[in-house]
Amino acid sequence: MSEMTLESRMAGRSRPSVRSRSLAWIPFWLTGPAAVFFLVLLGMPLLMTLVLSFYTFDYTAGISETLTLSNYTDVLFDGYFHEIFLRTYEISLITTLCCVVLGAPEAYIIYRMRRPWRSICLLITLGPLLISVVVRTLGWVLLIGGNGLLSQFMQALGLAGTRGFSLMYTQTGVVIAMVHVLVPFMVISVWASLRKVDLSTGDAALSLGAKPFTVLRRVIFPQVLPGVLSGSLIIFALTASYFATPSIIGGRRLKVVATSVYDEYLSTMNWPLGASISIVLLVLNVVIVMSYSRWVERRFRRTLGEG
Amino acid sequence: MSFLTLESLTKHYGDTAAVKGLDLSIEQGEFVSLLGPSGCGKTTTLQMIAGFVTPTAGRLVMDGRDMTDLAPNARGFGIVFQSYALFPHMTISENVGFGLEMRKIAAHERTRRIRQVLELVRLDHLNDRYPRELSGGQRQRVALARALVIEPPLLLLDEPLSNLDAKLREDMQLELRNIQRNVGTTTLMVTHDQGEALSMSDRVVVMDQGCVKQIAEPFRAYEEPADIFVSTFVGKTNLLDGRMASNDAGLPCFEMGRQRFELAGIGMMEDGPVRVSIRPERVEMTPWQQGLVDGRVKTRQFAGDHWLYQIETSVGLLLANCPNCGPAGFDIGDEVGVRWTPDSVRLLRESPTPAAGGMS
Repeated sequence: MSEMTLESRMAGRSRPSVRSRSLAWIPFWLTGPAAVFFLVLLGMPLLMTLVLSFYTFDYTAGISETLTLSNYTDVLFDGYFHEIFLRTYEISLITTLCCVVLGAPEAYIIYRMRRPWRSICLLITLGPLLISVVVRTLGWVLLIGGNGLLSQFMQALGLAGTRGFSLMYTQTGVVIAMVHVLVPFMVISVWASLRKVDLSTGDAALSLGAKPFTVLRRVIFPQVLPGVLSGSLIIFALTASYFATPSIIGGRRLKVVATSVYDEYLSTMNWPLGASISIVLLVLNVVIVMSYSRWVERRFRRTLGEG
Repeated sequence: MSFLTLESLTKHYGDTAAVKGLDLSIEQGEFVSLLGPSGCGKTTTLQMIAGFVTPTAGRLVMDGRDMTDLAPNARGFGIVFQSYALFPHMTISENVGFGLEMRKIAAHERTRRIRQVLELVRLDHLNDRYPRELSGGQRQRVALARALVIEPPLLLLDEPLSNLDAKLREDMQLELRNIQRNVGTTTLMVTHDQGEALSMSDRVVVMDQGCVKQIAEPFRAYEEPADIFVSTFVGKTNLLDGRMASNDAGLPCFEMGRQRFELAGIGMMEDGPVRVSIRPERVEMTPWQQGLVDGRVKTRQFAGDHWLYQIETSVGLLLANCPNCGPAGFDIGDEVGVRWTPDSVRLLRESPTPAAGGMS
């Protein structure tokens, strides 16, 4: 392999002809449209948000184009925002952990199923991704709301008073709904890892005297760990900036960063503050994601390759 | 009383029988190969011995103990898998030590035994590497070390060399056999490579379509194939169809068309259609009209140490394997004679199962 790449590299280094020089531009032409598309539609709004976050806001005068850092000092040093950020990351962390605990075994069990069941169960797991998040979350409202099924069930068991039992506007409620919305991502991610695992390593461990659970813990799980970690990353990042589910189930009483940005923009009309909150969230997320994936990469470079 | 006994071991998958009533006894320290084409049931047999597949019927007895229903992790057999199945997230030492760890062997004793077995396979300098960082041959030896370190009563090898290139495979055949001799572990190897089976084993079990065709020492299996399947699968051969007859002296001979060929070492038999086998290396090429039959060279293949000729003769297309002794050999289109000694002709039984009729 290494000889091959060396050879091809040598070939690439030989004198470039006119033809190959014009060929060299092809990648730029091919990626150009998409690059322009992203620069305009993603880069520009982001840049405008960044600029906006430095503008001044006044309740009477509105937004003025005088530059200030006060929005950032508000976000970074106000206990109110600290609480919202902490809550957001707490929800993200718990949701991620729940997705690991539920999704990783789920993926493994479905992966080891026989022919027709395997595809059927995978379809059932991934099917909800085809339904709008809002619809799925509203489904949870019906289940965990004040007159919901859960409440009726608890009342029947005598565990809840006559006033009912509601998980609406609670962190538990948000986490339950978020886990349901995001667990398919963990299944997909672990599934991709499982496809690279040589399942005869499990047989080998058995033959060496390991008990079935030890095989899972010591041999199979470490091999799908990259999938678990990258799935966690996706879920953590998505939860930290998720809007629909926290806004429906958490509402105004249980604000997270995304919903508070929304409120700053649309209720208070304090666009610059909203912009600075979202920039802080973006920076935090980027830092977390980057350092996490660098750690993962370094951890698995020697054992499992570019997994 | 033999060490390992398989008693009419059978496996059905739905209506298809993968293994049909296999009987086999293996002595302590013996190296036995299961040889056969893919789908002959040899891997299923190995999996049943390992405990990964539950037999439909039959028993597996080792050292007087019935192991048929024992879980794979309670059998204590060492297994080398075709894919090696090394644990990619563990170093070589950790891989080899895994079985010892499962047996709760103390750390210092573990280290000593890991070092010892890695020395045996000449990999002690690579103990801190990960499997990904090793070559195919090295991984193969790690897999062997991992299976041997637990000092198993039985070593199972599932196509252990099939992922190696030809040159390395030959070296590893020798090395694997030497290690097995040194350690003295009873070994059962599954392979589809007849050269591998012949060169490594004490005995070969030739299988086809779930049935055992012959159990014999490699030399016997090659020289005295039990039936047509064995003679064609183990090595190359020329098959000739003819009739049994008696010559003028009243001795049995083989008749084909108007020609009669002498046979040796065969008692009186009834006249009737028979099939004989002559190995290509027993077919000797002579100048025109000096052999038993005449023919014309159709193709020739040079293989370094020998030439392989296809010769069109009156008895059919014959394969001749002639050692390369210097001169350039015959050319395509040359008219040659062909002869063989009476004792090179093997009389073949028809296969007991009608299924082997497809082979010719």
